[in-house]
Amino acid sequence: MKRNASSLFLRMAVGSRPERTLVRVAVLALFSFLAFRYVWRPILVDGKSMEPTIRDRSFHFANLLAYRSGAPRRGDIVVIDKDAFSTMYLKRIVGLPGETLEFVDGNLLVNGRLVPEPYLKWKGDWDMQAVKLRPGEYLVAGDNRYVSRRSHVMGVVRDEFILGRLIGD
Amino acid sequence: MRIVLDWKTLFLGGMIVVVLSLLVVRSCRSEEDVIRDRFEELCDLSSLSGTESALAAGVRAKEIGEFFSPQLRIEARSARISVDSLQELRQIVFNARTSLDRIDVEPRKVELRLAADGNSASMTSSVRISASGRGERASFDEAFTIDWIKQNGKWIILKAGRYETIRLID
Repeated sequence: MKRNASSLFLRMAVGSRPERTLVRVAVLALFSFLAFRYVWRPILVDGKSMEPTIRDRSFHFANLLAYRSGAPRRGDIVVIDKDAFSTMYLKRIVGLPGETLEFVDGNLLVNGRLVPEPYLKWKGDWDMQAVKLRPGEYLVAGDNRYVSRRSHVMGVVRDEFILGRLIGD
Repeated sequence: MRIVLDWKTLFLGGMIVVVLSLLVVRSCRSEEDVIRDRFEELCDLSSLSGTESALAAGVRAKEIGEFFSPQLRIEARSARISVDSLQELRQIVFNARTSLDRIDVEPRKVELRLAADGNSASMTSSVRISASGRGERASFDEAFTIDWIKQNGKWIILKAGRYETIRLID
């Protein structure tokens, strides 16, 4: 009886043909490795710069192929290479290449015109002198405008450092 | 002819093989290996495991300065640090070593690209820095880009800065 139970468990674990099970496990492991490394990168958020849109310590995925067929757009939440290894910034694109951007009392001005930021819960009171973006450059900022601009990591990033787009933003 | 393999002969033969292997490995080290070793040596020298006297700190600051070119430039805009001379660098190292109790500089990951001429190289490195002093502790991971040049057969740092993908706006 005991022997029957253990053989049943073994059969449930590895199937009636263990060599096929082994191949399936290897294929699944390889697929998972490739998918989560090169396509859907898992991200654990550490910081409050994107609050309240993205909560601190929340878990998300980034689509690393999002910009293979098109350029980033204003409002996209993007993951940006931080240190060439495994840490990344999570920011929102607020300015596109060639544009001149400034913040006046929390209002975003693009080429001198007011552009609404519907994703914000509170627009804040940031001020920033006009910045002209060169080709391939984007202005990125977090959604947490409750913090002062100088204590918030925001600025210009080149397209080569934008790794992908947050899924479900 | 008869060869006698007693334990003395075997031991001597083994020693010769080990020494020759070490010599071959040592003399065949690539430039990349040399730079990586220099970088690790610099991290070791930069670490501090207890309070240091002013004299010891001064000596160590001088030793660390020898890893840098006299035309060095160190920039970390986000940390608002800018160093343009060896004297300034030595002073910063001296101040840090005399005011802190412990500094750990641990290289985590290093990527290196050697230029085609073999006389310069570009490094990206992630480093874990932990420091404590005056009852306070701090630990953080930081990435750096470092430009190395070969001068008089020795690899030294010409330029270093934080790896900054977001250019902050003042």
